[in-house]
Amino acid sequence: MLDCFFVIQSCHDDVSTDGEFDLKSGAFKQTSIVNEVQYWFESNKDENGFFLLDYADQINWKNAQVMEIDNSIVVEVKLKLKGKYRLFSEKVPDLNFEQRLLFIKQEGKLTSYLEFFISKREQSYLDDVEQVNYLRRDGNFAGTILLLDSKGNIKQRYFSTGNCDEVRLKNADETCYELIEIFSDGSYVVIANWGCNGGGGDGSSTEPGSGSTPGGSAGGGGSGSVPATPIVNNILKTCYLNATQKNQLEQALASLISEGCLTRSVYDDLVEHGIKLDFKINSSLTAPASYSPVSKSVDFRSSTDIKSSNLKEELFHAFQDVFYSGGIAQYTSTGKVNIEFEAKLYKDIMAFPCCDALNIGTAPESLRNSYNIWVYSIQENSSNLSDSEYQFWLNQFNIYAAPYSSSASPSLSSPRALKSIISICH
Amino acid sequence: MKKHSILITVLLVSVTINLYGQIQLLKDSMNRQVIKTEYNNGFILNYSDRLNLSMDMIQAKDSQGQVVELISQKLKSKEILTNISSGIFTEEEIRYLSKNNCFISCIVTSTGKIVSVSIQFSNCDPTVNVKQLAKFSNEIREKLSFELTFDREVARAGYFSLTFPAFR
Repeated sequence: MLDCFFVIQSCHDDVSTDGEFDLKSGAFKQTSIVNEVQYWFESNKDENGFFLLDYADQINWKNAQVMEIDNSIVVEVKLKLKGKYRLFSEKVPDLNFEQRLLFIKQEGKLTSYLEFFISKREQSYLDDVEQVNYLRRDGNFAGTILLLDSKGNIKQRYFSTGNCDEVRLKNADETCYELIEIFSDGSYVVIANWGCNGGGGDGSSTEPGSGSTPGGSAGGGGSGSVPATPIVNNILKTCYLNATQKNQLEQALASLISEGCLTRSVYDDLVEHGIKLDFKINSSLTAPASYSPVSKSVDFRSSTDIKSSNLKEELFHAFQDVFYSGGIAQYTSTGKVNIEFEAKLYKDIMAFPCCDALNIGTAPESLRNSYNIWVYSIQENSSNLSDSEYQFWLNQFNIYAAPYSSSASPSLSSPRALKSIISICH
Repeated sequence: MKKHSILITVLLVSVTINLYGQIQLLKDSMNRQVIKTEYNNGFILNYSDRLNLSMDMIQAKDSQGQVVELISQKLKSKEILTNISSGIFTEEEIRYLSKNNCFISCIVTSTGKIVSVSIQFSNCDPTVNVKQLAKFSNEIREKLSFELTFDREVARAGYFSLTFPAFR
């Protein structure tokens, strides 16, 4: 759909003269289509969770540009950014850019994109939505147009030399772009980059950190850098997180690994086994995070839930999934309580103060006290984790922690996954 | 009518004196209880600041009425705990209590406020100065609190039991 629109509509002059795709802003501008798009955008946060929204303080719905083409309607809305941002490429340093939300309604269905116009032309030219937009540019537009989906992936990338020769770039022609935020003290942080990982349209890599403001002919400090989320990348299959979220995940994982030997061993084991996971936001979750042994993914309820405390148990579930023959998907009914209690105990034997497991349910205070003291005895000496005592507490957990109750699996009566990690650390 | 008023007044005074007496008793004393632990035939010796030792552990819930889960908990702050300990016990006493598996068990509301503190010993019955333990308990309850994180927003407050070694 996008290809067809764009290649045909490459030059403003052509469009104006042949009239085939005549701009019809008058008929729709500021009418119900903008309200409809705005309502759809605000009602579908997941689908429209573009990373740049975190850096924007205004979506200019009032001045939305509406165009009609064939049976489709295109709406472009300017995004006003909060801070000071600059865009660098490995070929051309310090480019001007304009950012918008692009909506295409076709056959009644709305699709949204984050749209960048990148050019050496003056900023005021790029800012003029009637001069430069998705369907029309004048023949002097020289630059690149990127369309990203809400996951940060490049969906389309076009390049024009300014001679009305707009072409869709192939992967091999891709340029690495880095978007940086500049702070008042002169430091900066790369908030997103595209095409910097050897092609493939990954728009989600990020480089935390700061340095002197890049500039001049050298192209800046962040240009063409190796992705700076190595901890995440080691266990990453597909990242559905935007640049900010991926950076949060990197920090959460770093914090988790540095907690101690047990958490580090879980992560190391996943890496050694070449386990790759999907990470994404799933706003329908009731818990802050969840591991799916079926899709091999870790979902977070929202960006603010990307924390080490929420990752701890989910990564242990991923570890159990590798450790137990046949994975843990087989224990979604019978054995659920075993899998869950082992993970809760894993958390508890690192906790100060302790403990979570029997606080979940309706266990009497005296039982909770006994559990807490048993956990501390394991903290003091891991050999206190005997199978008989474990089974006693597993049964109590099954009785009192209703959300996790299930038929117990005899094959999981010993916490073998937990013991294997403990044995590495002692 | 006059007789009734006098009777009610006497009753109120009597109840107040009774309650006051209990609070005073609790302020410099503690309720000793031995809790048998089923899993290892052991016991926990519990010195509690409460008369009612089977506290109803109401569960914290979200706005949908679902029980919330504790994700993480942090003591604010360990430094204050150390100061409380060293202000009440000598170094020798701390070593002795520590050797006897001394734990602090708190009943905490979902806001992190401590409402009850018990001093516990696991599988041992050391010689203790109960007044010291009571002071320890009171100061912990008054000066410490917890930072709790839940999996969902708490709409109805509840209680949690949190334990930590007294002198680690």
